[in-house]
Amino acid sequence: MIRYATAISIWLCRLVFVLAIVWPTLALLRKCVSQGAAPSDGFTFTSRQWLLLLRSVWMASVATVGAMVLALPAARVLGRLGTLRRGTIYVSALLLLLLCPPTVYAFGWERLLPAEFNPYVRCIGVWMLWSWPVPAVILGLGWARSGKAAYEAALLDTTGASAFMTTALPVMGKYLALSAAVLFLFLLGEYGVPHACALQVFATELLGWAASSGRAIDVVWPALSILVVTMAALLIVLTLWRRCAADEPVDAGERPPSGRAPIAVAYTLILFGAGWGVPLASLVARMGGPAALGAAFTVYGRDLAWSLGVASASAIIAVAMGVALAMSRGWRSVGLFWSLAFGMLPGALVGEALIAAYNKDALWWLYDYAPIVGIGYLARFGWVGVLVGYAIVRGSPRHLSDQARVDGATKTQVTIWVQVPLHLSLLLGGAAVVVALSMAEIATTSLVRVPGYAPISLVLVEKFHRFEDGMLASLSLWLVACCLPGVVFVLAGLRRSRS
Amino acid sequence: MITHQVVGSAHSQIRVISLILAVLLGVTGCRHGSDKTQPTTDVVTVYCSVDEGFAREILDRYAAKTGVDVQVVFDSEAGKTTGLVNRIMHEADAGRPRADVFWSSELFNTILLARRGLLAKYDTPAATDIPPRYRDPGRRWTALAVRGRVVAFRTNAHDSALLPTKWEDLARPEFAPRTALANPLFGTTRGHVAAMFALWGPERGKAFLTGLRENGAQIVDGNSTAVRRLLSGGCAIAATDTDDVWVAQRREAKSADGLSIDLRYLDMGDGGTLLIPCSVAVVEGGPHAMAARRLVDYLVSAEVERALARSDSRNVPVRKSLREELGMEWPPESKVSFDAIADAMDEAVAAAREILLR
Repeated sequence: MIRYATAISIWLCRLVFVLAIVWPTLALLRKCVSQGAAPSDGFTFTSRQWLLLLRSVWMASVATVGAMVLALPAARVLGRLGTLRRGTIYVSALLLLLLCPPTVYAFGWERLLPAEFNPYVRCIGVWMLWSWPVPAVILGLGWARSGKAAYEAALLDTTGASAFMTTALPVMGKYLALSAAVLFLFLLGEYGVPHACALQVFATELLGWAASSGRAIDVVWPALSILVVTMAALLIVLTLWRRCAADEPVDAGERPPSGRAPIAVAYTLILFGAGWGVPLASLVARMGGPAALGAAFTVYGRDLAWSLGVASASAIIAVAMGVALAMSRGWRSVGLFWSLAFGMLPGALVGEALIAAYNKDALWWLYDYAPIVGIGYLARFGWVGVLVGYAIVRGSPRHLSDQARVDGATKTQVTIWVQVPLHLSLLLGGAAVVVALSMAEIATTSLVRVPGYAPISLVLVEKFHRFEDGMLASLSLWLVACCLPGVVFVLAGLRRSRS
Repeated sequence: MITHQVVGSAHSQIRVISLILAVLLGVTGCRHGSDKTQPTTDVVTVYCSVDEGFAREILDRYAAKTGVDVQVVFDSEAGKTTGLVNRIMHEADAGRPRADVFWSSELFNTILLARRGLLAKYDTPAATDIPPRYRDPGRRWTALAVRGRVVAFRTNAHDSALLPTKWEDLARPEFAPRTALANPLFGTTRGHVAAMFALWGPERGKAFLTGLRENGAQIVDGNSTAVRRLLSGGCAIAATDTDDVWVAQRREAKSADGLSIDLRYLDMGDGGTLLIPCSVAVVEGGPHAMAARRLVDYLVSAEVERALARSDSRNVPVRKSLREELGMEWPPESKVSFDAIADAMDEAVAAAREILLR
């Protein structure tokens, strides 16, 4: 009985993948063809589209490089820790910074800096101060796996700085490329921070086109330019990854030294303070007293609860979907490719695809209610769950799986009862990331919003446009509070794994 | 042995996750459960592009007074009104309109929806005191609570002295480089450009847009973004709506940054500016027709128009008696007809796309 229930659950999770990602892709293509495959303005890009694309590319590039530079000392600390399971406070700081929506930081800095402060610098600065934990973790992993050994060997011949620049960094090339790709691609399609800085970039313009156009091809065609940039970036990373030598296998019995570089730790905590503490303090100062928090909750508590509920349900389904896809080789490859490709589309295009797929008379029970918003989150951030599933299945110690198989467990049972519990912190971390991204999502949500509630990210944007500082600050702080449980869950998972 | 230990801890972990999942599903599912128990006439769905802060208060008041479950879909700032209009058209094309009532912050797109047969005829008794100019002769929409198209500027002596008096002057080299305006494909700017085409004719309209482009006017995300650009010193003139200026002025009164802004009504060339009313309509084929009519009666009532006039938006009532009661003056108004503006919409939008946004 349990075996049947498990099998059905796995197939249901795979069905979610089809419904959230495969079906909308096909529906969008079908709609383009049925409406006439040529865009209204023909197959050309206007100079404005080129301008916005170039602007988006250079802003994302500068922010990516900046965040990676900021992340280097933190990566070194993480590399010395060897694993995220050590250094709870340090890891908490990184998680806390990363799991809060970047728009909240943008609002905080907007209120702190003079009105005439350059909006481009503000936008790039917010992106950098928010996103540096991503390269810190990836580069930290690279440092632990290969950079540290190369660095220490080079120290015999040269100075520390020279050893780091000329030996360690080239060895960590593939980790640098991966960090750069993850950040660049995310920032390229990011809507919230440029909008909060009153800037027009490709993602903001595309939402306008999607909201105003009656023809899907008019949105799909300009979005292709972003896709080309995305594919080019992925190709470069893949090439670099293949060119770099494989990491030396780490001896399982070897534990990295627990000592941390005090200057690097202090630097990282200062960076955390600047990125998290300063903008939030600015919002608290503008909030207008603790009563404002209560007032915000009275008016928008229901919307907040709904937003959190839908985001959390989507996150749990996303990681379950990822694990279910990862169990089978065929589903794993298709799932990884399709979810990543779909997730990198601009949010407005994803929204357009969902409308094409689900705006049907017979699907009113789905399109009129919260599930369509949840499907939107899955479509945009399901790739996080798929990556988590992939890491859980592929990254588990083989001897444990083999032992379980000897005890008579099936392949599915090994995944559910051995591999998933072993990586619970990763599972919870993935879910927390999906919740955080979903709570901040604007572009897709704008197009598939439902009558039952107003997604809190859209309410925040509205408050920003109406200059309602007190409400904006209060709601932002509520949003931060909503993300805190994610940090706690991940830390609990890490603690459990450690024990 | 190892497997047994892992399986043992896994059971408790999965129990915890199941509990969390159950709570979440319960939270997200309870609403739908309650919907099923309610009679359908007690629910009404509104597509609303009136600013969320003002509209929510009014709709909450209606819900509290009548017990009706008012479900609202608001529009985003960037796609103001146009997004909801497209949504109504998409849903009609799919054969199942979801909205019962369309409450728009402008009128021209409402007229276009009516012409497409997407709005139902309803002669609301609450609109008998509304002037004929603001009621559809076919009774498919009712308009009220106007806002004006204005230019906003910072109140220092230099900027105040360098303002145009006519809208057409905005495209001249001395003004355009210092001007920011919202993307004319959306919202009230869309209607404003269409009004220029209707009043001036396509050639003058295109010349105006060309002037804006060649002289370097900034196109921004929305009206409030234009005002924000003004406040940050990114421009000296912001083409916007009155409510954006009133709201920014209120904010400024609370802050100590020393900035203050004001507005000026420019002349469209026939003695006044474009005044844009909000509009209310019943959506054809919506699921709750009777509830929709009752809500429309409320939304076009003097009570709601008074509330909008007293809000931070400070919409000017079309009812003369209300203006006298509230001590509000009617701004200088262009004579161009709303139908003519709707007629010119497609051509104006196409020209704006071609000239300004290429």
